[in-house]
Amino acid sequence: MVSQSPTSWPRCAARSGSTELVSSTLLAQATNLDLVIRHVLAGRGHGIHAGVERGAGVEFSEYRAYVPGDEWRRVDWKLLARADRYYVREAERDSHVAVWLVLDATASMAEPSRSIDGLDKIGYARAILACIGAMAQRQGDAFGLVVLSDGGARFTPAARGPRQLHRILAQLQQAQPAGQLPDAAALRAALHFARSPSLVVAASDFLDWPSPLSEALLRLRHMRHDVRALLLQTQAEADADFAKGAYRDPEQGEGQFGFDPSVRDAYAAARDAHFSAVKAQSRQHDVPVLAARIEQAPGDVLRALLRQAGRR
Amino acid sequence: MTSLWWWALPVLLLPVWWHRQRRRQVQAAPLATARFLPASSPRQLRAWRWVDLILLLVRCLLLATLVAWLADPVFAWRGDTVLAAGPGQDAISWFRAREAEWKPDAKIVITGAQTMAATQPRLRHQVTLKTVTPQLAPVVRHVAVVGAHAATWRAMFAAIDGPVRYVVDAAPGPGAVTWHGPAELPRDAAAARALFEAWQRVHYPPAPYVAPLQVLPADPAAPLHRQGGALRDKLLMALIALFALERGLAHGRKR
Repeated sequence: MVSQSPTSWPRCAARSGSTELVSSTLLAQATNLDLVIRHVLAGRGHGIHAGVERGAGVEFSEYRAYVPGDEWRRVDWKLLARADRYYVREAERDSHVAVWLVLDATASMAEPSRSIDGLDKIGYARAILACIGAMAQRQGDAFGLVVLSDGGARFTPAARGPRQLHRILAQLQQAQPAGQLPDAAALRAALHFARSPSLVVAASDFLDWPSPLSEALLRLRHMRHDVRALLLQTQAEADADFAKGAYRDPEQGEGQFGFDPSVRDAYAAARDAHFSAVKAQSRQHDVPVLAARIEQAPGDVLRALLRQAGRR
Repeated sequence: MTSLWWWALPVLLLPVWWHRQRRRQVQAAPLATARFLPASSPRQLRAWRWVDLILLLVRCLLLATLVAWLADPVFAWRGDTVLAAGPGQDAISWFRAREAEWKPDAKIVITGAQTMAATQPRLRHQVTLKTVTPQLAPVVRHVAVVGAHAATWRAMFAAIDGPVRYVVDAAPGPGAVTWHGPAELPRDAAAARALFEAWQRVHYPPAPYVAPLQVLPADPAAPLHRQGGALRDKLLMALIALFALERGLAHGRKR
């Protein structure tokens, strides 16, 4: 078996600082996740994990009528020449790896970028998870989605194929940031899948830790799944640079908080203490956490996320 | 007693407070990592600004009108006035009960058949009486007097002076009242009833004495009476209109 190296992403690696900004700006403007996937993956979409087989569709199984959404490269052109109809080659797949995308769509994920208009954490998380879903689909892996929003968990069972990708993209598009994380019982019911080894990618801001989500991720890790966390921040959060004024927590009640330059150090200290605890506990349970700013180019973040996998 | 209602005016601060509260809640911008910031006292961040100014104004007006309706105010808004008193009417008493409605320098003239009071009225305003004594139409009644002291009674009827003249007939005739005199007491109920009806017909009430022409001087020390109810109807209409307006505006804002 050949493991696809993360270094097989020449375009992503070649991106310079100026194009990073362009890329995030484009992400802020894009409303179609399909286009985002094409742009970020730039024609390549393999390397999500060490594949058990080479390429997509090795052993021929049967022909199936073409339906819109199928990839052109899977159309059998010789059969088209003979029969004047489009047929798609179906292949027997025996991938043991299912990819689970976990999207935190609580109210705090609506946090916008203070430097790029239209860009927010939920949009960035959507794009990254959509790209991972597209890569899984191109590799022929099954992939599913869990959206945590407004105290509930919406569960899309894992499946393969382009239709599943469209289903997942539609679910991602529908996810709107609202409410809080579901409680532990609801989350346990939603995330009790996965008896076979799975790859779980959770995109969240992890502002609540410990939380039902963190407990669920650690529990999955203990069940020998490959769990990865994408911790999303904004550049303003990283720099502790906000406009002076009053703020409120979108997920907590009535309390009001004030920001001015004099409290910047206290903010940075509290933030660092929180995320240090998050990272320490994750490291302790062997869950890699990638902290990313949403102003970074999604291609770079995706590459870094997959590089973690390569090390494992 | 009703003027105590003016102490309820501070209730106007309630809508002012409500509209300001809402402004404060809207003001704070959402920030996901706000929990890492020190909690600030909202008092320092409040801005003295109000939302829905028109609605606030209407609500304040509504409450002020309600308080005014309960307090039933009397305003001195009437100027120089001529009051006409009908026969037997007492315009001075009527004026004294509502004297607070007249401006302090207003002149009052009372015409007509203003009756004369037993004592000189004390008023804050100078009141000129230009009274006219009404001339009663002369009436002629026929009376026939019989009985013990008929001659004396005839003399008395003949001496009566006034608008009603009595003509004493020698014998009871059609249309004449038969007067028996006090010696002739009625023997039974029917006779008593006939006597009473006769008395009713000949009797007429005493004509009120019309006050003579005079000027009643203003007395600054006189008690000032205020009779409420002058603005009640208008305030009630305004109250209903303001309530309807407030409901409409509040409903429109929710939608």
